[in-house]
Amino acid sequence: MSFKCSEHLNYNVLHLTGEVDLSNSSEVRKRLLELLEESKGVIVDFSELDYIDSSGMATLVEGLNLAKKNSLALVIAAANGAPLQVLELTRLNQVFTMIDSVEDIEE
Amino acid sequence: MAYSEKETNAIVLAIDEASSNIMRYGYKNCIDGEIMIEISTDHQHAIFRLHDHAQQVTDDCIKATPSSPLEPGGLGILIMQEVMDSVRFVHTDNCPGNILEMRINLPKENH
Repeated sequence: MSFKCSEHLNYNVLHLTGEVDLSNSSEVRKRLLELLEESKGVIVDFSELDYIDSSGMATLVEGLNLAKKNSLALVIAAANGAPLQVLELTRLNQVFTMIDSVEDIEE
Repeated sequence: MAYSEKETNAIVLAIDEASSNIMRYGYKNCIDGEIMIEISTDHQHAIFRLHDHAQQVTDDCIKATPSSPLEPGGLGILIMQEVMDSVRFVHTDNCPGNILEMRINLPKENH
């Protein structure tokens, strides 16, 4: 698993690559919470994410709860394959705002 | 007849979730805890049994699911229950630890 950060419009973008699971979700958590402290919305880019388990999803849920508390947006972009399946199984696809790509975000 | 890619992904995910729960809560993140995965079939199901040597637990551990996915905890159990047709602990007096048994219907042509 690796991640990198970028900016797009008024958002920080967290690009996840590879697999997020119990062994590394704490790293994602740390970075996501850091980004949310910058008082900008966050887009989590799933386009190169191959796999995510419940520990990874719990990290995103924690991020979403913090974002809501601070009146910020947390959006998932380009979910597909197995990660999209996890979102559907947990019904979190009905909770998160989901867009097809980072570029589709509305200002 | 084989499971589809989507079904296979879901099964892998459920076993990953079960294994993660054993590592976190059974073995308290101890890195040398052993998990044995046994895979078999009967006329109707694929059967996955995860054996551990942790302290015995009851089915109460796998029954609770969060009322809202935004509540902390329980997503792994929710996934296991959504994917599998049954999830339960099988305890025997001869066997210390736990045996978590998960069953999923075989692809229809194999019934």
